[in-house]
Amino acid sequence: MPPVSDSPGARRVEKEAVIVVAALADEFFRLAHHDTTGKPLLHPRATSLGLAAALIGELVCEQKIMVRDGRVYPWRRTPPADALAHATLDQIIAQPQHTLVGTWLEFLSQTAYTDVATRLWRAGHVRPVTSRKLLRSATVTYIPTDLLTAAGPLIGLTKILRSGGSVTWAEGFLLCLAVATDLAAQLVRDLPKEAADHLDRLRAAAPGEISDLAAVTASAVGNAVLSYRT
Amino acid sequence: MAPPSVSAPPTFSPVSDTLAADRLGVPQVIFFVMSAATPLTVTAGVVTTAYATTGLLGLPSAFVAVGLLLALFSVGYVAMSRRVGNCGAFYSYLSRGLGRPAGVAGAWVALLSYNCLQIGLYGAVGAAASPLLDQWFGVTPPWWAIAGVAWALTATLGLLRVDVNGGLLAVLLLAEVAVIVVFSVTDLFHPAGGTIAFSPLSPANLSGSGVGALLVLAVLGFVGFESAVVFSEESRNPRRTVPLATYLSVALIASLYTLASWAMTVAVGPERIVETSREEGTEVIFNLADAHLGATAATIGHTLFVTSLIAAMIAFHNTTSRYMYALGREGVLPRRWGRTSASTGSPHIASMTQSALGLTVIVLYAMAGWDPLVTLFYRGGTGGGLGVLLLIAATSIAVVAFFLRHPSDETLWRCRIAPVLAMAALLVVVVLALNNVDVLLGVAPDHLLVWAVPAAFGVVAALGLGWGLVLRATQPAVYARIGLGAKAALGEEGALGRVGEDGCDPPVIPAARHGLGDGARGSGEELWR
Repeated sequence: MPPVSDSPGARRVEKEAVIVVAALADEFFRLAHHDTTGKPLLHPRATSLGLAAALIGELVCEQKIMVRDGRVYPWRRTPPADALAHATLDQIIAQPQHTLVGTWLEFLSQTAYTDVATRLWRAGHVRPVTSRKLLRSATVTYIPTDLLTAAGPLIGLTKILRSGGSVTWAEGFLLCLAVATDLAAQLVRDLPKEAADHLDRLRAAAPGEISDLAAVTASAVGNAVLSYRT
Repeated sequence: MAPPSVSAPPTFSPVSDTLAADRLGVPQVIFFVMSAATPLTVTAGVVTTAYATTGLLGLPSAFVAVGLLLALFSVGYVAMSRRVGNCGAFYSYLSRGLGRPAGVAGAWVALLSYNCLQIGLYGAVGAAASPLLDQWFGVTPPWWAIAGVAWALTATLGLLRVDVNGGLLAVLLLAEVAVIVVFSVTDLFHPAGGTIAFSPLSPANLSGSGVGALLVLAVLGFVGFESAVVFSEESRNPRRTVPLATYLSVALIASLYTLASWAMTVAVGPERIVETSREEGTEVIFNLADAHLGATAATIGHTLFVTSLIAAMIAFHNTTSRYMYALGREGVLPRRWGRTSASTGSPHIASMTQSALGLTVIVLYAMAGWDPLVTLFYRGGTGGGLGVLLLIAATSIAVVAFFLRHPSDETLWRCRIAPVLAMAALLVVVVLALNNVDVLLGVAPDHLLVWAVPAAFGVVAALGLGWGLVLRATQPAVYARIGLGAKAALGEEGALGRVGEDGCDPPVIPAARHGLGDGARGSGEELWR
């Protein structure tokens, strides 16, 4: 991958791009589902909003878009390698009249779940199983094909929280997103109290674009509760 | 019908189209508002108990008066709702208009009031279900057993976040309205003594003593009208849908209750309504239906009364737990209450707290042997109604104060004249209400409750005010976000924009393009590689 910029932030991304950049939404999907059964750990609305935020996060991490003061701006128009990220970026570029992160979260969350699950399925990470229960509509569960990959993000993040170590942009982003979607309570439940404190410190020091994305996500998740209707 | 005031979007936009597909129109918003108002609960439960307890005839005219007053209040309220974070809750208006400590005071008064309203309903469900259980199964369980079952149902549904299905609620609501209209029209065709008495509709009823009590009871019937603004971000055209839905809801509620409460007096006879209500309680309307329409109609009415009460319980339970949730989200109450259950997404800790409170009261009343209908349902309801009236009045002051300090593009009528008129009228109503607490509660003027009920609201408001000041001194970050509800996560008002503002001209892209990870906030940057 050619150097994208000479700012220090960009170099960091370049170094880690191969490992994490395209996978933020995949990683959040894994975090939000049980690693063997594929059962969701969060309610559908929070999962969808978290995945939408992660899709935006992928583009921010690849420096295709910029998040400032709760708004999204296209930055570099060279298409990302991943097809879903490419499609998302095209949407953002084509509709410059919509800049609020909240609007994009709302929009992307409508399809994010199926989109990300499909991406995982195409890469062979999950297999969809349709189940029917009495009086309920059919539900699709995406069962992980490999336990180690599926448990990867959870193991990695709990290790950081236990050790009190530092995080990369991507790891920090996932942690902040987990807090914003109320997933973090499950993450730190079995950990010592120091882990929760470390999580608070990490969040307080988060870069502006991550705090913004996490704040808008948390607000949308909370709003979904307040204006819930059937 | 006026053409839509907003022109078509200038460019093709899948974002606007996708989000608009899920948007609400006027009828949907009215349904949400009305289904929380549960008309049969008010008509069969509140109206009859009100006649019995106050001994006054003026309830039909009070519904008209309060309807007009709340419509006037809604002008400024809806205009301000576009500038408020947690726009469905009165305390948000207080914190924006009168300062954040006033907001906390309002929030605590609201919590007390909504809890009174919700828990009060447990007192009525026994009386409502007993005739049915007797008729169908020949059993007459004690009221607390029926209340216990209703409590378990409400608590479970609250936790599972299975709000009763919207379609089912709509059917129930339409059935309730149909029953009320049919019963009332039949009553009008069978006037006592052969002539229809118009005296209960006369405005003269609102000049005598005890008028304050009647006005509080009427306000009780309208509780929930304020919730239309919650859906402003989800409505097709907030500037048109929300005001229209609010005015129409108020008008519908006012007409329905005026008709029902007046028809009852016509059929029984104005001079006998008080006495009959005292003898028959919530059965008045069903006994009339039984006499004029037959036993089947009365059974249908009874059944809907029970479902109406249960729907009201669930609605008020959800309102109360969402209030706690919003306050927990802000950090005004312990943050624990701002969490949701991971699997169902319900505000489970807030929900369990409200349920625990409800169970405690049911057990207390059952052990003490107090009368559930009068002391729990009626006093809980009227006490809660008084609290809501105080909140509406305080909010009307906040609307005036807000528009004085924040000049806006609203018309003079919306931001000055209507709010000031509404404020003046509501303050008069509050004074009248506080003078008539004895009539309202149906107790002697020297009874303990006459000063204890208003004092409870005063103490809770004072404590809230104090807590607001403590937060200002000790937790400025929490203090800054009071009144924002779930939007508290976004920081101070407007810091990260509101969804409603999007879709206009693209704002200027910031000139300085920083790299990733720039602008880290706070200390501890070394934690981020």
